[in-house]
Amino acid sequence: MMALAGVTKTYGGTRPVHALRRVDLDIADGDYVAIMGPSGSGKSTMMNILGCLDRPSSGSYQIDGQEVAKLSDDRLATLRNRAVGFVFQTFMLLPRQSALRNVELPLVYGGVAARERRLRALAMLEEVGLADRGAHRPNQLSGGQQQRVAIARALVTRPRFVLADEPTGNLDSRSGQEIMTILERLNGEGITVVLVTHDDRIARHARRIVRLLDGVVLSDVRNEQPLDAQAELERIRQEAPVGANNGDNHGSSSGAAMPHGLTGGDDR
Amino acid sequence: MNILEAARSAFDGIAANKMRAVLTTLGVIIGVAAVISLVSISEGSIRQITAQIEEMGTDLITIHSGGMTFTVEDAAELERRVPTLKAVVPHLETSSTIKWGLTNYHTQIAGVGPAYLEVRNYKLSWGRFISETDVQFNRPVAVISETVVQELFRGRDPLGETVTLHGQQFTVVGVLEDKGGMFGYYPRNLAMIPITTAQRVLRMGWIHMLYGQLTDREASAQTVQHIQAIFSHRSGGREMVYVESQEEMLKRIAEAHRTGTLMLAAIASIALLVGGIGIMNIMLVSVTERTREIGLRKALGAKRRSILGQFLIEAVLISMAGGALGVWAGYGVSRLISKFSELQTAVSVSSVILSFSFAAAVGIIFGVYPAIKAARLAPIAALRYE
Repeated sequence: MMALAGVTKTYGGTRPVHALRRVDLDIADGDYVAIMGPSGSGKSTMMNILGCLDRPSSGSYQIDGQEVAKLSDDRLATLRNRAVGFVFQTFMLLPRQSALRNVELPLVYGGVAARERRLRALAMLEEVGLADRGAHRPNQLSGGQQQRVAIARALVTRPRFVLADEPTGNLDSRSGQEIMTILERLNGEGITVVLVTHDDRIARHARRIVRLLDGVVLSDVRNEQPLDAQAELERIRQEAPVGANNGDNHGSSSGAAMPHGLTGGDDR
Repeated sequence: MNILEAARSAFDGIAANKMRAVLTTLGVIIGVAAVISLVSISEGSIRQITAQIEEMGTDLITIHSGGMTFTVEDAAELERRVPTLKAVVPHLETSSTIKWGLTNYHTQIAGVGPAYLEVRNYKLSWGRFISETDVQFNRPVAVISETVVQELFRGRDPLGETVTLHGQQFTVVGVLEDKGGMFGYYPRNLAMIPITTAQRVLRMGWIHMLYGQLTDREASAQTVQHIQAIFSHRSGGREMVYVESQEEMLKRIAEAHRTGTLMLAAIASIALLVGGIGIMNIMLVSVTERTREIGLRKALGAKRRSILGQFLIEAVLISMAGGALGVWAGYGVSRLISKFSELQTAVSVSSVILSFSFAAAVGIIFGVYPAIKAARLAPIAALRYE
């Protein structure tokens, strides 16, 4: 459980900018939260604090009752390595490294031995459907594939939280939908997902939507009917079939059909 | 994260900018090459001088006058009184000209005794050397070096010819083999005449130098003391002569050259230092350029020391690569120098080890600051950096 209590974050000296003002927010384990707001509303700051990349200027941030602000830089690094997975809008892959090496990187910093690292990274690439792309460099992959590599990297240490900052922002709608499907599946497996976005449609996949404005929480509502990413994806695939794999959809009309298996549909 | 992984990241960093890495190493390459080649020249000359001194006659004792002068009789007296001296020979020298027919040639004139040939380890190519009777009767005879023969007689037989030395006529009775060397210990243009003749012709009554030959090399220290005691007694306790064995002379010259070598190395290592500053400069640029990469690595769990290690190893790899290339280049330059000039060179192992480690140390010293700067970057600031 992540708990922000009275968190304020101020930047700058002479004309300080209050990115967050006394924000209280609890995020339960296994939740799927979208944080929304226009640019400058403080949503990125909140994400940085939640991801232990930054410390609050005042107030308290606790993960499972442990006060994050009191941890040393190195302990924070370890915490990020073990507990948090980041997905960035711009993917942030190392351009000269293979996809596999990119996925391995958090394990390198986690001190995992080379053999095990390789196996785990390969397994994770397989999970995002890129088992055959391990040797490719980022510039040899499409945007959607790059973001899937980034997700594999975020997940390889089996973190409890995934923080995704506009993960679909640089992608076409179909690739974006694929990413949303993966996030939905992860959440179904019990991983807490925090999604930062300004896109209403993307936010509606979450089960809880927090809106920020000028550093304060404007609204915090449960989304009783989240969008089903898997179903959406299948609908898109049928409308614009790519390749031959739309045969997998059993020919049924898409929208209302319950997807099989992987989604978090049972949790509703 | 272990050192191997840090090295791997460092390698990737260098590989990303190969041309820049090469240019960065250039400073270190030049520095190391300069140290090695300059020191090799100095080392080479030490070896050359040492070889020359050894050639000068084994078991040589040099007696310089330091205020008092010697006579021909002094040489004979020393030979009689010091049992460890096989022979003692007087020597006086001046520079003048030698003339044959219409040809003039600049030469050194040395007044010597008959034992000089053996004491100074000269060899005769033709004719005979100066004899006891030559000295006794102040005969106007001369033994000239091969170089003088070539310059003056141009292939003709010089024996029995009359030459003019310092305005006096001399008969050439022998020719000396030239000795190698370029540091003034062995003049190539040389004419030797009997010591007594020299005193008269050159109007020099006094003699500055005696050369002695030891019966046994082991006796050098003892002999030096003995000679000093004799002269000190004669001058009433004052030290009026400098007596030096060949061994001491070698030591003294080597010492002087060692100081020279050190100075050279110190000057050359300034180039290395400048190379180090170049590395720091590029590493700082590299840290700035890769701010986002550093931020990402930190977000993924890299600790300060991982980032520090990565950048430090990168700097050290660059400087060590430069060092290795510099050793190679320095060796090459030193070979070229000995091939295309009269200088002899000798690349010493110690200069290689020293300059290479110095290069590595330069990498560490100048890599630390950029690496610390990288390690201290706040992850959030680094991620946001455009």
